[in-house]
Amino acid sequence: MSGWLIVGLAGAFGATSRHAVDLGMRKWFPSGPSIGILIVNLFGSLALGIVVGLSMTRYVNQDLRLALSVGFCGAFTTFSTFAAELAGLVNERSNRLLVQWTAVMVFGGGVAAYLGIAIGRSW
Amino acid sequence: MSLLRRFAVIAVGGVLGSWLRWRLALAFPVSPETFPTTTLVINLVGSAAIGVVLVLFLDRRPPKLLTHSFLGTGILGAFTTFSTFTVETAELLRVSQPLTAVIYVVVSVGGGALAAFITMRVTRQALHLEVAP
Repeated sequence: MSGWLIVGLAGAFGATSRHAVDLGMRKWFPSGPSIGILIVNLFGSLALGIVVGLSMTRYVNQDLRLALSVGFCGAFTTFSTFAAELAGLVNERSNRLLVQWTAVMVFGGGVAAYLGIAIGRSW
Repeated sequence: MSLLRRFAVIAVGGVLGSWLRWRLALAFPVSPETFPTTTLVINLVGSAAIGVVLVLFLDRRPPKLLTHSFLGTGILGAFTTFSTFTVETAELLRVSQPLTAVIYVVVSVGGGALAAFITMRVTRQALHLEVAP
């Protein structure tokens, strides 16, 4: 299958799934930085880690790998919303929340990715 | 704005953003042991662009929600990526490049936040909107 079709379809699915999670979580957490984006980014980091880890130790179908990694995980997770939220917290001078939110997102994402790679490698 | 239309424009934006990120990654490949310049540039450019999009389409009264969904949530949301950033960081740590990993994280997160902050401010000033203190 063509790479354009694979990346396009998986990317569309990833982006709409991200928005669905964001909308859903906004019902429970209407204000503050998006809990939905946090969940999306942590889950996506874990998932991409697993795909990358699996590919290190065994053959994974190229098309499937492209769909899951570049397409789905790439579009599902997002950096721009995170950066804009941090800029907003700087603007509001919410220094405490700024530090907490950065720590949770970055350390959480890093640990999720690290765990994902370890899980994928030893599957 | 109907929910269906919003999801439709996010899907189309998701296709375009993913394609652009994919072609850039193919054009500028980075090996796992080296500094992930391609993802960094993608995330910084996307963070700068979201600041403009937020002020132009979400801050205005009335907000242009569908345009914001297409450009911000769809294109820029899918163009920038968090999972590649974290997996690349974890990989740098795994191959014993902790200094490179720390620099990558600081420049990505600090640079991304700064880029969005500056473009939000500059766009507000350009539109003669009130700039938050």
